[in-house]
Amino acid sequence: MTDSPHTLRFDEPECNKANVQLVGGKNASLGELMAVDDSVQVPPGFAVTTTFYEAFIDDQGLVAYIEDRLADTDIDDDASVAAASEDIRARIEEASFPTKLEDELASAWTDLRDRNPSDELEVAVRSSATAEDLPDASFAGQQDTYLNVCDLEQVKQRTKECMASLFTARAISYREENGFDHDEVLISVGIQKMVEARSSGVMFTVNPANGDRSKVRIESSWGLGESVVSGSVTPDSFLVDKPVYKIVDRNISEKRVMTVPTDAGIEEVSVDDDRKDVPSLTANEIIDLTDIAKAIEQHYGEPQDIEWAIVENGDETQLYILQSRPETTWNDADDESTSADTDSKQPGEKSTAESILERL
Amino acid sequence: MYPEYFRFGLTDDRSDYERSRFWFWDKKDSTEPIRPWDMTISAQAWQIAMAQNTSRVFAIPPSMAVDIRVVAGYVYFSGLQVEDEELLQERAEIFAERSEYYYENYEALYNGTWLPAVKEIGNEIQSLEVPETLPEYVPEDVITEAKGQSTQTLQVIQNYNRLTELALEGWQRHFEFLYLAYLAYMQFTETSQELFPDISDDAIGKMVSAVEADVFRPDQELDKLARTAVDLGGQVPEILKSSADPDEKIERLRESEEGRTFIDQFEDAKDPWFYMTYGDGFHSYKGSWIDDLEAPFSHLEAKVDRLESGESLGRDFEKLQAERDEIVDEYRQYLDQDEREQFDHAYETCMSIYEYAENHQFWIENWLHTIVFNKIREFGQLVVNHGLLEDPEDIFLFDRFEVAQLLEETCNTWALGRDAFVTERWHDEADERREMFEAARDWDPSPALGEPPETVTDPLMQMLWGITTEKVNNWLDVESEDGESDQLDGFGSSSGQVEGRARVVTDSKDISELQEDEILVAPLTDPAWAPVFPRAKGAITDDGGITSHAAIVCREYGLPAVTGTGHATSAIDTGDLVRLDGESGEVEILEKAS
Repeated sequence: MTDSPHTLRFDEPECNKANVQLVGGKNASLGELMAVDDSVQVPPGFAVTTTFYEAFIDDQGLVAYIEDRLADTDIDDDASVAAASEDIRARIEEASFPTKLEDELASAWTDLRDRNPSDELEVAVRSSATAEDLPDASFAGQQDTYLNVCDLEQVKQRTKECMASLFTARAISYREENGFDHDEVLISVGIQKMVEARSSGVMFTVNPANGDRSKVRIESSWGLGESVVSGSVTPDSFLVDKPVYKIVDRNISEKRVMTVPTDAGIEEVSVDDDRKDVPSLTANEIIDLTDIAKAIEQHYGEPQDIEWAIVENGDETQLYILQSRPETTWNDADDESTSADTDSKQPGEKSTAESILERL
Repeated sequence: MYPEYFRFGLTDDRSDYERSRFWFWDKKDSTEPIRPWDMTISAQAWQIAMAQNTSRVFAIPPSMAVDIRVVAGYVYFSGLQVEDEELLQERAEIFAERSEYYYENYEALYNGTWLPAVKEIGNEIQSLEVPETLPEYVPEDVITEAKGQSTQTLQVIQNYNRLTELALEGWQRHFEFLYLAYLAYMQFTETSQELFPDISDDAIGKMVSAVEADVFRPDQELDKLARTAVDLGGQVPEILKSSADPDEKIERLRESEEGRTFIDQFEDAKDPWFYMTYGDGFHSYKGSWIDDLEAPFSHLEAKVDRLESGESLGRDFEKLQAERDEIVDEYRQYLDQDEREQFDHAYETCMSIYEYAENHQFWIENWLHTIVFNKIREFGQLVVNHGLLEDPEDIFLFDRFEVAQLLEETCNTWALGRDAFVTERWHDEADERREMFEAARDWDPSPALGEPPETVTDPLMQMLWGITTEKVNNWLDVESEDGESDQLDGFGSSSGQVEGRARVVTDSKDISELQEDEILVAPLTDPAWAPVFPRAKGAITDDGGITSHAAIVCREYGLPAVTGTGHATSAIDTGDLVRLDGESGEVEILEKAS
């Protein structure tokens, strides 16, 4: 890339898995989801790229500072590493973005607001590391997510904090032990509109109970997805037969609590009595989700575990995909199970009469 | 009136056996009481051919077929199972070898042997000569060629015997592939259920739909004729849409050039495709299209009407096929290689032989039965001409063996002259039986008798008659409840949810009463009804499992359907507002007609 961008919207074609080095794993996967087809929408946002990060630390003499500070650190001494980590992170968080970068970030922010007119734009700011798939997966604090960020000043500050997470004590030790250069490890940050979900949940493009790939299992509850993920609510669940879109099994649970956004973040509240036992998805939404699940699975070529949310604005509803990753249980188990349950003959080699006999 | 072996309670030990078993009413085939002669090509033929096919020909391991009883013309079945382990093993080996030969050679056996053999049976029956009356004196050549004394009477007896032989032979052919076809279907169903747990019956049904079977040909021929009529133009469409009766329409058509072209094509289609019986083929008195052209002409009227208002006709075969293939491909895509081979094998076998389940119904129950019944009518006319019966149709009131006696007596009456024989007893007997049948038609037979099983395990019973454990329990509930329920449960046989006014049709002659957008409620649906399906919004039947003709026909025509509800025709009245769900199999009566 000749003119590497400092920011990149998720729906721009360059935001994809070929550019993990530029936008990090998390942002790349969001861009990749947008490429599935038009039915798949992620909440809008943009990546602050690794090029941005490099330009930032170059400009402020941070590269030299980090190098010197780590040279003085005894890597076998936890206290020494912790002190270095604290110093470096403070330095990054206190530094100012150069004007050019600051302008670009501001214009990306304005652009995001213009494209999504609403009373107040609230975003989540999170780090998007370039090496998340490495064994320990701990180069950067992946957990660094700042919710309810609503003005440009805060966005800038949280972005720096995410960048600083590259220098947690744990990340420093890990790189030392595995022989990675500190100045070659880069980080990107994602700025994404927060969605106020009416319902949200997860879906598996395979029946998690038995590995049957012709089904989609959808779990859903009121509000944001946290209550489902944390297990504080038993979600409604639906099993859909993919080729014919038939809901073959449904369980509507009593949903006592839900997660809602607040000014400070999120909180769990009680669900109104008249909504507790009401299905959190309509039949049409289930069909739409199934369609999306099929499209995403086809795109990735293997079963997926997908987080989704539905936002309701007046009469209009918008379905968002928050994340998709390979479904691990059955992807791995596949090879073993097929060799295990065939005894003498391969099923395809059996004659019709023999297979019928087994059934009689 | 019926063979003695069909009677309940014949002897004490038989009664004990009968009481210990479960007998269910074969409502699918004996919706109405079956007349004595008609039993020849229904219950009697079944008892012989079905039993031996299952037990002695293919040795289907767990089944010794069904034992049959008849109550007032209604047929009851009781499945006989094989439980002895050694015997099961022995039969398994025979079954494997024999059925595999048929599966491997289906195409050649069906097209090369079966179809020609069945056609030959029908043709031979048609060629049997039955004199209208026996002559005053035998022809001269009996003397000059020294033929013996009674060629005419001998011929009557011989030809009647031959007719019954051929009818039974036809029924041996009926069962030749039937169970193999259903077993192949069962294998595909169960393979699908194993590979795709929770898959719906409806989804499996979709994968085996879009079958190009002969049973759909009559409707297709009518479509073609309707298109020809519209293309020819002139007076043809007007005549077809007029209220004239069939004979008058034909006469008027013959008056013009276009009309004659149409009639030529109509005549070509008649044989064999209008050998469709009104009803299920087991009731001689209902007749066939070929003898009463009311149905084909009334269907033509509606079809011409549809074409002229720009609508399409019949089932959209290509669309059905494309949808089916897309669904099958998608299911296959979710399988690994071994599973896919297993699936493909089961699917291909099923699709190659399964068409038989639909083809045989045209060739045996419709084509052959029409020929058989009409030939028997010729004997009936002979008997009437000699004064032993008053109406040729009355011959069907006597069973196969009684008719042999009747014909013998007719010949004797001819030989001795009417003074020597008092033949009015046949008239009286016919009158009495006719009255009995009227009464039997109004009787509501119990769906089941005897000892209900805790579980129904017989796969054939489940597939063909829809007799499942749940259904049996349902019957018991209904019997004990007594009250009217507004909910009915059956099989979700053809997907779609619809709501509309019900039209209860218990006699196929009344099928034309079905109005646009009504929901058809019937004991079962028949292929002969296909032409009116575009008018219906949905169908609900008393009987029929997921592979019954009723279910298949509805799927082929994309008509949402719930089959096997047990008692829809008695629970629902014409005009009731009903809702049916062709996936879950639920039927709800929303509002009773006042």
